[in-house]
Amino acid sequence: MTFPRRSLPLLLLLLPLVAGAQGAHPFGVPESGGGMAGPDWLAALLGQVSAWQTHFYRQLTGAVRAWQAGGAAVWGLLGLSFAYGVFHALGPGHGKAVIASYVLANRQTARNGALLALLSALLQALVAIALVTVLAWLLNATASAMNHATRWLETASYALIVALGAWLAWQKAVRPWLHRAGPAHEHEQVQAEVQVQIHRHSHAHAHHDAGCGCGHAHAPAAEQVAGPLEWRKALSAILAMGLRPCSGALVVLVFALSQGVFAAGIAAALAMGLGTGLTVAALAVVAVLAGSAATRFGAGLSAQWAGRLRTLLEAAAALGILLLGLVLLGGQLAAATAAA
Amino acid sequence: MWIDARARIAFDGQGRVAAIEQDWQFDEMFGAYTTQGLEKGPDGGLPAATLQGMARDWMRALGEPVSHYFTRLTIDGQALAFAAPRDAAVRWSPQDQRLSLSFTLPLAQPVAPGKQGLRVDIYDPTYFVAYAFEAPDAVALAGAPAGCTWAYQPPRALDWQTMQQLAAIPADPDALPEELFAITKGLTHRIEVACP
Repeated sequence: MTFPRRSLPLLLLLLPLVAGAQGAHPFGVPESGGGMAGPDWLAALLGQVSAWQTHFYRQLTGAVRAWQAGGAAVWGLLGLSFAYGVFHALGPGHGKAVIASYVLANRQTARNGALLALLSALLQALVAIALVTVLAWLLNATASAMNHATRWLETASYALIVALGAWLAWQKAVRPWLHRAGPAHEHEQVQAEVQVQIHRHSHAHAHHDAGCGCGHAHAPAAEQVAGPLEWRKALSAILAMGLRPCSGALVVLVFALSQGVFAAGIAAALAMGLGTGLTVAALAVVAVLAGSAATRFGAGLSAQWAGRLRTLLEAAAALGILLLGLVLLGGQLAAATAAA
Repeated sequence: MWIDARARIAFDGQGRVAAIEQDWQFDEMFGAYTTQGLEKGPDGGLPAATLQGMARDWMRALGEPVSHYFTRLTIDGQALAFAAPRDAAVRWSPQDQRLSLSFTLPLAQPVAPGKQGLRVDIYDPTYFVAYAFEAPDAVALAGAPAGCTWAYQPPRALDWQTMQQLAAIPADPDALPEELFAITKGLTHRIEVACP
């Protein structure tokens, strides 16, 4: 019972982190996360991560200036930005919680989980580049205008998390429960789930289920269940995580613009995105492995319990996303009301 | 972001600490971001009204209880209250692209540090701002009685053992043993002032 017991509290653990310190930072740079409401050791650990991030941030100024020299200077900036991105991803933030819960709730393969993480980080970098190009470069807008735009994107991203969470909660928690309440047996619940997962193959699978007459639930491993990414759902997950640009990318882009080396800013933002994406991808893979370890362990118990365990894990992950989205969106709306 | 900071501990005529005078110089990237799109003079300078507006906004935000001017003063473990800050000013240097904020934070009730000492902790609880007290005159006493001394201690890097110690204790901060609480507090920039 090692994994299921541990992975669920881990998800819940991430909640207070993002729930705290929702308001704007005194120095106006949009910065989500940073809530220090978690346990002390976590706060200390995040403080250390933040110190490393700052260590790379401090060197970015010189690296942007050196960009024009070309050669090694280019790699210096890319390397620093990449490292900054890695430590940015290790710090507090809702993106990791969303993707970990998403892959658990959807029984994604490790490959799909990693792909989702990388795509959302790429989107995040592109949004930052587009925002600074349009607002700062073309319109010469102020920092406060950029902060406003970021806040809007943030609100949209939180609303998407709520929508995604509600959708998953319906699929993974509410509907299976309704099925259970009815005269249906457990296998129908699993079957319904499988149909949702790979609707293209639902006929074949339903036939297979009837054919083998498995009166008890069986919990296939993620590799067997997750087909190609469901793009509709995957896209909303990518948007939910990638819509809001990271402040580090915005700041380095604006600084590069002010120094007349905007290309350096674009390169830095993309390298940061790669660092963040790979780090979150690693986390997504861990979440997938934890999920399938739970399933395998459960399979050792009894087939019926394995199915229940899996369903419970998925339902908890889906509800986790919904709860997280509600907390984030609520905090955002409360802050907007307080500011008005 | 990071801040190159200076703090001066100002004494009154009776040898009591009356205020902390702070000067925070923001990093260049933050300066570029914050001044982006603002109307600048021919020399690259910013209008006085713009700078005053920044000072007003920042001081108001810093005064929120959650930020508490990123400064904590304690004597004998007791937190000291501040009066309203004064002399807040923002400067912008077009030459080196640096913005800075200076302000004076008076104590509601001046206090004599005594032998046990007065403790000044400066830090951003969200860890978003990293401070650096690296200038030779980053910490100074002003108008202190003879024999007063100060010591500065940067935030300590957490070693694995400390992290495990912290992990082993309950999340409720009120439940922390005094010794471990001090470890947690060791993550700040700390200035200790003692007088005979």
